[in-house]
Amino acid sequence: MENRFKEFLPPISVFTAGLLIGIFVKLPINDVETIAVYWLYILLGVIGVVVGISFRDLIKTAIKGIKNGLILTTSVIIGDIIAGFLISFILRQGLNYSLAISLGSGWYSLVGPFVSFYNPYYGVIGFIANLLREAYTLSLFPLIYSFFGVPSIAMGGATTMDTTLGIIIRYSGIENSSSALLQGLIITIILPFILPFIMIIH
Amino acid sequence: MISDELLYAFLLIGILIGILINLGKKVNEKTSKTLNLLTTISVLDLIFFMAITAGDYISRYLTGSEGINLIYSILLYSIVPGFLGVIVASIIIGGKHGK
Repeated sequence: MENRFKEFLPPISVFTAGLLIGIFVKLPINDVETIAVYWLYILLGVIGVVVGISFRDLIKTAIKGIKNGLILTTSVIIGDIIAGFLISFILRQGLNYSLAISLGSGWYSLVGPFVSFYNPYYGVIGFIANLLREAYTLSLFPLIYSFFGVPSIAMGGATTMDTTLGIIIRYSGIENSSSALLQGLIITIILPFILPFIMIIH
Repeated sequence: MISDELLYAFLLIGILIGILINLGKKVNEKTSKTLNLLTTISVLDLIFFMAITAGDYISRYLTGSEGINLIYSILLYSIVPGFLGVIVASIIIGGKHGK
């Protein structure tokens, strides 16, 4: 347990500290976002090297990775749809908005502006909730992984092909990178087609 | 603003460098430790700056009763879908497939 604690304490502490600073300290947020983007580029570059070095192991695990990737993608979509129905019922909000925000799968830059077209209030919820989903995945993945194993990749939704790929490989191993990449890729491709259909639901 | 082209260019260049290192048989324990450390540092920095951004957006809507409803909605939408996805995946894949 002590080793587990050592692994997931730093991401959670850093996340909590960042969130509190963001809430209580006024910082030039555009600059902060720019720094985050630069770190993302660095992270993707480093992860690229890790993937490249292990390409022989990756080829060996590719078939299992594809199978798991397809299962994870299906799970993400089923989980998002159930959550949409559940939250719509609990908060008495329109089903179309609830489903659109839930199915956002962490892709805040798509869902926020898209939902805002129909209703700016839900657009704000969609943007921040999906931004937080990405941040939770980054900070809680080591903890969730220690309990659920590979299924915990589903938490990342669309972000597992870029932003959260680094932490997934860091904590679950290179053999799960193909599953994560495939999950993120499929959701990223289908989401722009699904969202407009959801908005016509009443 | 993230440039997708730049993002995937970094990933592809990294993969090419990694393949070259692998083919040149220059992978040793020191390389693995350095890459591990670099990944940890960049992951933690990314989490920190993403959390500041999320905190800043939340602080803009923290005032009044409408703010409380908004925060309540944001919390539910940010936590429930991800966790349900993990539970569904656990049921389909079955048990713990990890460490």
